[in-house]
Amino acid sequence: MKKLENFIHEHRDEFDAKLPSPELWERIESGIEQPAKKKLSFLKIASSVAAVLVVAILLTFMFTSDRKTLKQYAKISDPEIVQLLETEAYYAREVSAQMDQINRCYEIYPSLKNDIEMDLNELDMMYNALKEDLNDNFYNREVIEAMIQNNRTKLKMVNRVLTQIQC
Amino acid sequence: MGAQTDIHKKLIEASKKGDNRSRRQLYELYARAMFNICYRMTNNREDAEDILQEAFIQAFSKLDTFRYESTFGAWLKRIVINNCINAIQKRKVDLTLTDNLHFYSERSDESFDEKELPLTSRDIQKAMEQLPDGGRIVFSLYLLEGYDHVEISQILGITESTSKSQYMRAKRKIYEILKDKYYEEA
Repeated sequence: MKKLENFIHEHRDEFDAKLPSPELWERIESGIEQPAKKKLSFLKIASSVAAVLVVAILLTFMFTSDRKTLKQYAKISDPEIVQLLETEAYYAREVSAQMDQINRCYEIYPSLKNDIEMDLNELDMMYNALKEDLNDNFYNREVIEAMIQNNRTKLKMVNRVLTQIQC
Repeated sequence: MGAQTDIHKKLIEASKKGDNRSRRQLYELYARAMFNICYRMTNNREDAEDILQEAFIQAFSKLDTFRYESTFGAWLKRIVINNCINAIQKRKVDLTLTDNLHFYSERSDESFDEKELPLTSRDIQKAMEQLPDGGRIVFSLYLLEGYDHVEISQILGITESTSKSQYMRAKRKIYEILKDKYYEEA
């Protein structure tokens, strides 16, 4: 089975035979100065829909937490921070979805409520403190990463509980 | 490699300052290789071009964060691959990175000697296009882009063993496709 690997290694150049359209550079060039003219390909539509969703989630999330954040959000232009915020929003949403599931289990296992809330309390307090930090720090990378980590821990915990109780 | 890096360094530094000619030269140097990565990952020309466009715009806009910790090519490649993965995930194409790849029925003639199977890059590329997304992506990243399974597992967010088994299956499947073609033509 090594034959295929060897062949590809020896003929590696032949695997880069395709060329992009000549006009692609112009699209990139105009995109560097200002956002490129959007061609309505499926991919574009899909990614815009995804972007709108993320923003909507972020806005809801921020509106309910602090109005000041909204103003700051408009100022963020660093794509890395935006991406981090998107990730954060994703985890926040995952946690709240899992919590909905757990909430449904409370009816079946009433004692669960106390146990879980005690465990989550500390994480929630940390999370809220981080969220305040975020407002003060103008979207500091470390803070967002800590928020993501916090939600990940919560997810792990909640998932473990959910698999254990299977309600 | 040293001399080559130096030439690129000038281009990179000029591009950081916004020199359009240098940007274009950098693009010309890397567009082809990067486009082929996009094509292999998406299996679609139009998507590959859209992703390539986004990736280059992104690369130029955050070029000042490039500090020569890796080669420019490796840095750009990661941006391109990340854009591909994001696009594929947004496209909601099932990455099929689990165990549900079906096997081609093995030919009964065990005596077939793989050494006899003629290989051409064209046939291999055609066979790759027939692989499911997950297998094709792992196969390309490993064999053509030169990442190891640890790196692939980090890039795709899968385990190392999934990466390995996806790779083995993809490879086997390519052999099956090539063999089928060989028998058809024989």
